[in-house]
Amino acid sequence: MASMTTEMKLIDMERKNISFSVEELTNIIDGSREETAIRRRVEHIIENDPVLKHKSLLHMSREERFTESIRRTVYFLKTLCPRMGWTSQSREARYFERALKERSFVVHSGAFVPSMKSFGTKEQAEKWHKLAANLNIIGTYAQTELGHGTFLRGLETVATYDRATQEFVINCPRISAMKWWPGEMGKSANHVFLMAELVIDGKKYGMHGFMVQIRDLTTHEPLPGVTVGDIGTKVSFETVDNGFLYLQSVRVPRENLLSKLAQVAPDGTYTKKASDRLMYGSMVRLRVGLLGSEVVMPLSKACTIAVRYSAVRRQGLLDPNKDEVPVLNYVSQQHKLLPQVATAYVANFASKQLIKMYVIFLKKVDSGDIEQLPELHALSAGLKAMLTEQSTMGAEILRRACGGHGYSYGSGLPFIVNRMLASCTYEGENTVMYLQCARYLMKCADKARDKKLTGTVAYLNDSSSGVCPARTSDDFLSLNILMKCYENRAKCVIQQAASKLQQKIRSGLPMHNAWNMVAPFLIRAAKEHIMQYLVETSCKFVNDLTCSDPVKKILTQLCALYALHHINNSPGDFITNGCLNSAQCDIAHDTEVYLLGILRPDAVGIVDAFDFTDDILQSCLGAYDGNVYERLFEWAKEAPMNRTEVHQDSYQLLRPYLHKGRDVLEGAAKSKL
Amino acid sequence: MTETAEIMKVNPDIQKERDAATIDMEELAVIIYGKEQLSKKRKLEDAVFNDPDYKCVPSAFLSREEEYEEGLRKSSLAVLKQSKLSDLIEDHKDIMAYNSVLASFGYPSFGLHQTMFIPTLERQCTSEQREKFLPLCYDYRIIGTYAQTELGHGTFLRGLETTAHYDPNTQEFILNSPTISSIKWWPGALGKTSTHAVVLAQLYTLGKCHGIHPFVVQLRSLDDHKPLRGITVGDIGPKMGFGPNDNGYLKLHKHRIPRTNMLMKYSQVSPDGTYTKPPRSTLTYGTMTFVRVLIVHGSAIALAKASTIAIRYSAVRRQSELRPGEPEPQILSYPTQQHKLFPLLATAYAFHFVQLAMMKIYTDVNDQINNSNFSRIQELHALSSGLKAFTSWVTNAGLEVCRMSCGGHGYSQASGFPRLYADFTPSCTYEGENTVLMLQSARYLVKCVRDARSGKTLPGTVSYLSEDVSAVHSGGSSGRDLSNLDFLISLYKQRASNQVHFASDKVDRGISAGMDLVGALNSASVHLVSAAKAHSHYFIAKTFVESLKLLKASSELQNVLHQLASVYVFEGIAQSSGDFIEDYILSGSEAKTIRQLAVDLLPLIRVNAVSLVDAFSFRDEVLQSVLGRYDGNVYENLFKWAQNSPLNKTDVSSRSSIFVKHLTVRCAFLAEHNATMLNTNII
Repeated sequence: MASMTTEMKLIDMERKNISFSVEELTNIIDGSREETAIRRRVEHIIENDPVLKHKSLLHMSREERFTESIRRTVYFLKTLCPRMGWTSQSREARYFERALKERSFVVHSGAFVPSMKSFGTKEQAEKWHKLAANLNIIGTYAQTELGHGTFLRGLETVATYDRATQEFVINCPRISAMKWWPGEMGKSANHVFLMAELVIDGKKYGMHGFMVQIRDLTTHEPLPGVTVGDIGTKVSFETVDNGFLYLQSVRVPRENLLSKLAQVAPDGTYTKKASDRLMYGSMVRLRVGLLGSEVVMPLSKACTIAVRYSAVRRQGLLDPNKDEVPVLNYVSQQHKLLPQVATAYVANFASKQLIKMYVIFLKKVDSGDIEQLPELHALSAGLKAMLTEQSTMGAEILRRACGGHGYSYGSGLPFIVNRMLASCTYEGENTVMYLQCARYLMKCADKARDKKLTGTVAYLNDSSSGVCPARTSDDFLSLNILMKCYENRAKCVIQQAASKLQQKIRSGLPMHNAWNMVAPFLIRAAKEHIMQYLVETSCKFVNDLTCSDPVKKILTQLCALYALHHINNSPGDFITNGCLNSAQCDIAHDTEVYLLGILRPDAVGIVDAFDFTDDILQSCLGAYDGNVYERLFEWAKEAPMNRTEVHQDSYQLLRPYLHKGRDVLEGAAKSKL
Repeated sequence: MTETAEIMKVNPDIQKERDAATIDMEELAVIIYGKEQLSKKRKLEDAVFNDPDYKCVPSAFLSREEEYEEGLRKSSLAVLKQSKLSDLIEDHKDIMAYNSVLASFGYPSFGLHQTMFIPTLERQCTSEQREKFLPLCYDYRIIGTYAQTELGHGTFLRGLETTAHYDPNTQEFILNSPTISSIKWWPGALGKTSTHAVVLAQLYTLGKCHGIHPFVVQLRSLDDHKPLRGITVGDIGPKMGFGPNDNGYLKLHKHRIPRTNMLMKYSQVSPDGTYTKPPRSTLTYGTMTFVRVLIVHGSAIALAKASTIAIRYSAVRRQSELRPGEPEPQILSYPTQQHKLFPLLATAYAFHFVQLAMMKIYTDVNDQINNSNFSRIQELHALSSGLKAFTSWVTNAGLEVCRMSCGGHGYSQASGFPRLYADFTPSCTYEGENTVLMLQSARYLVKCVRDARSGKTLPGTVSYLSEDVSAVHSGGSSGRDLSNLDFLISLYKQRASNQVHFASDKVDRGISAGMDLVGALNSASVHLVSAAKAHSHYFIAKTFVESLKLLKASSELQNVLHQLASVYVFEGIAQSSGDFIEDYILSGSEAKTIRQLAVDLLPLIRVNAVSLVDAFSFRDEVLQSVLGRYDGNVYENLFKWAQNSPLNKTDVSSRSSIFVKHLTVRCAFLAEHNATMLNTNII
């Protein structure tokens, strides 16, 4: 690859024309110049470590990746971290995930270990947490069942107290009660934190958490009464052994009920100790954490790949007398790519703000103040649903924007998209998330009439006119005008949903029935609220930013593009509610197309700023140097199918036919001679 | 497990749905397939699925190589089996029908041999060439594929870089891949299976380039299957779907083939190198148009499969508490779930009737072409391009909606969705990338607007563009019957017409502002795509409603199909209400009414939902989905399915457990580190 290919020259040209400092933008994304430096150092060390190197992820089988990931994780934690002096408290820690690309025991550390503290008494936490922390046990969090997911109270696994032996007897009464999906449960875990219905003397006490050992500590074989295994292949998550677990009369000592919230005395007396609401806190935390690693990062990767490839892929003629042009020059291609790039930035800024809110909340919790929990719960649920949905769809649009090559594993895009797909249904199925968000909004809409609201719903109090003043494209480039537009629409839609709900209730329907009947409108209300939050948060973030003019300009344009793109996707909602008129929608359309042209010359710079190394991207199409075709060819040659020129096993099936062909064709050729 | 007895029964929830249906499922199945075809289809399915020779573990648990081998094993077997089924397989059509049943196991290994290689030879060979090649193809004495796409070039045919230089001295063509980007890339079965390919290359003779032409090139020795000299060929590596298929690459280095291997029915190179060009260049569009019609059909089938899985599963899955104290309801009872699934079910039916109509137009136009009447070629090309893009986009998105409506289980390979999606999604990018096709369709529509202005008569599907529709309706006038489908279809027409004229004006304005046509088209391309979408959408809605009017069916079935068409028409407006409101076709409050009409229909459709998908008549072996099983016994069978996972071959995963043991004994600090990791990530 010594000489520059045409593709390499093309991307080089793109970089020469960038109007702003890519490095400055990278620093903004990372948080500061110092953070960028720390991140790069971590990435450099991990990428260059000979033991952490692996062959192309894209050619490995599932079992290879499963084992390989455990190998790398053990080495990383056991050898590399001590050598570097890295601990969980180091500033470096937040970049491990990104640089390692994939690693094992994420559920163990992210869900099992923390749940010891959330649900266990001090003594229990000490006992189990220490063992888990030392990895003397490996555990997972077993809640979801074959027949039951998001709805916690529907779970069927039972733990019946046996006073005689002071034990709980755990059973899955029918097949739909089998635990199904928990990560690392199939083959790795020897313990589970199990959610089951507590039963004492035939009385049900609801869901409780139990520590259950499932495998022998010496041989790792399943214990008697335990049927456990891997649930088979999924769309992605090759390195995770999501498992099934069927328990038949498995006994655990009374002390294994994690008793921070409730306890059972030896004689079977049940005592409630604390509010279940605290459990919501841990769900909020999971969702907050999810946005960065499972939404913002993969979407940013997909943007990088698709934009860079579009800058070097040439297709068709714009001018019949000139060469084929990069597909990035086509407005229709820009219209696919750039709104997704804008989404990546908006999601980035919004998740940063959510984290800030969460951190403030955590401080208040320490002093017993959980007043903000409902707002935070509603916001994190809604944002989780909206951002996973937009990003997943966006990543898929980006994949298809790469034409046929996007379908090849070599593009790296299928891995990214497949993994993101799960995010729409795990940690709370999105429809349920919207409805939870709507529940909070309906309460707020009710209050808004006579009380002052604060925080993310304060705008519901605002009684100013809903008519948008924009008359020109310039007006639509103003973030203030766009913010107001979204605010007005959200207000209208939320109020409408609230009054539909009220109507049904007034007509005599019970609440749950009324709620179910207006559900499609409630979902819309939640969506518009979240869109309002996303537009406002990102616009304010950019407005308040101290940075150079060119960078500010780019970020302002990206925010405007995001807002305009979603207006143009569903102008009906804005018109119906009187927020915009037809003429304004027409201008909004033109403004979006105008912005695409303005952002086009900086497109490569804008994705370069995400600063992914080639190793992290794992994509032949997205590599920094633009040398896509040689990379694809080199990559394909490594495929296991190509180890031999003739694939012998399959050729044996064809040989009898093909030899007859030889006799005809080569016989004919010989007779010609 | 002790529940084997239960496995035999049909799940009572789904049985209840079937018992409560008001339509006759069989009557509908006959309408969909035709009486004879339905019985043929069932017989062929029996022949394949009751044959123990075809049995295999679920493909989700095979490695890529195993998948490839298994695919080839089944395909080779099929060749033998077909010859023994003479009472069932009478002609080429039956063979194709048999193969489409076979395709339930994965794309057949000889699929391209049959659908591209042979038809290309049949269409483009001279009679001597036919005699030489075709008998070999029919008996699999050679196996071929169709090599057009290159690493750097796809939909834009003229951009292909592979060259074929004629050498009059030896009367041979010298084929060459001059650059990396000119390597042939993607053709199915090219990597390891095929011995021959039709290669498309730029023809050079006597120092002049004559554009893209087809050549038959032998790739591998018929003796030992090794690649010939000058040929580098292999598999392009794993893709999202099509695991059994060895999509391949092909690099040609000064590879010589006889002059007679150029397919010369339409254009010729004589021994001295003189070139004769084809009589009409549009003739070659025929194959592509046909393939696009097939993709419209494929969209209808994929969406029908996805609806079947999601609706059956929704009938047996119970979730949450609607009324305190009562058992968890079937998720099919939730309006939000119905609102996800029923419009897609209606769309599957819409696409079914559209593909029938499209096939009819194709046949009609083809007959005209055979009588040397070329007047509707462009119209057909534009219509098939637009419909291919529209239906594949909608289906692609719809499959995801169906998958997600099944919650977490939809993400498991057991649901069948991952493979259904992975095998379908390339439809959006192959045989013409969708955006490019929409733009081609739009370009024709823009041309029609001009023709209409200069007083020309417009043909069939575009004639409405010359009507003055703007005066007919204006939103908000009182007394409009918003539940009348014919009336609503006229609104779709008005929207399409407005969008096409709007985009066309944008192009004209660009030109008056000094742009050339290409520049003006590019700057208006976002609007052009909207226009082409609106045009296709109008065609589909209209075709659906009109097809039902011609149907002979019991009145109850008519009634239910009318409900489906209504949901399709209402939802189409609700989902793009902006288009209608912006142009004053509907007022805001009318759009709201229509949205409500769609929601009101959902509980009515619910009554027959399971029967409406049952009528598609997909056998369990065709659906390949544990969630979509006819008997509804989802959970027992998910568990059974999972036991096939290679990770479950032993209770202790040998290699990884070494690491695990190692860990549990020794790693001291790391969980500490992990435990707080999430917190530090956040802060």
